[in-house]
Amino acid sequence: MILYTTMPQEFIYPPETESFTKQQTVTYQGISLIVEQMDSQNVQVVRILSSDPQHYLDERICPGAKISCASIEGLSAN
Amino acid sequence: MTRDLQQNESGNQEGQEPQKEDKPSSLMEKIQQLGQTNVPQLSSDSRIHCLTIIGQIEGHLALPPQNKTTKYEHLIPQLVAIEQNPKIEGVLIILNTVGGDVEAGLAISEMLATLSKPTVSIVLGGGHSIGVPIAVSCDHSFIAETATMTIHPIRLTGLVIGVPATFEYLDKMQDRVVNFVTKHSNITEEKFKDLMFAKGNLTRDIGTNVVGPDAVEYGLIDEVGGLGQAMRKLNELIDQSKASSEGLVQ
Repeated sequence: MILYTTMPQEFIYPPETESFTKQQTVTYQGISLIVEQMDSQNVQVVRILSSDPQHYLDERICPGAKISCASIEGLSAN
Repeated sequence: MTRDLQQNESGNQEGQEPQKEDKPSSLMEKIQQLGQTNVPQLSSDSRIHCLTIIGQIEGHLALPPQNKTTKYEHLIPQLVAIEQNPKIEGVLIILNTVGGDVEAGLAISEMLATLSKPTVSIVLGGGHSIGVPIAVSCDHSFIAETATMTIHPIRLTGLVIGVPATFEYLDKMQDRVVNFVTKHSNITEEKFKDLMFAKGNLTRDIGTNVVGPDAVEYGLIDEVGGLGQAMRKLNELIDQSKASSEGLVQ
């Protein structure tokens, strides 16, 4: 099926509600990160939310890096 | 020789963490080091900060997580922090956006335009629809030779009430975008509206897709260039603003 429309995809196919809960915004060592829950103990970095270019060179928080939940300050819902 | 090396290492350690109050014993230090990798710390604060505006600009409507978005509630506190931090001297804006929420885009543009520190923007790939006001809001704007900017009238998705007031509302929103762009760039209102309402350029849509050098020709963007030129310009603007502020003090 080819659907040719100017409507955004999310208006036609509503997103699954569970996909929203997987990602969270957290603060790790003073740097805001978007993380995804991997298992009960660890989260994986998806994106760094910082304007400081130096933060992007930090190996501990590069996208894909695993962080243990214990070291995260605020686990807040996105 | 080894002794010297160790001393050097401990010297470095002290230099990196001057804020630590109670110094742990050397044994404790070594135990802690076993479990940690040493991260190279270049400098604690960068002089130039960089904001990346990628994917869709997300405003009032939260998009599903599989969409790459730039949320304005993330950008605005960063901009406030940049304005307040005296160590930050300039901001580089990297744009590769397909557009998005008009009000969120205009909010970011206004914040950037009123920032007291020098700002330089680079459009890479695409800076479409509401990306245009963001690109022109900076003190100096660059566009990559291969980058494009789509200029088109604003669109409304969702529930629309079919009354004349809806059209007037849209028209006013359109004017806000046009006024912002013409105020912050060298393009004339006439030319910008011509590009915006041009027919036959986009498939089944109204508007124009402007490629790098054309955007400069129309006066929308200041220069064709990439990262190197943008950094050089930003450093130049920082030096200028420093010189003028020093002049004020005297």
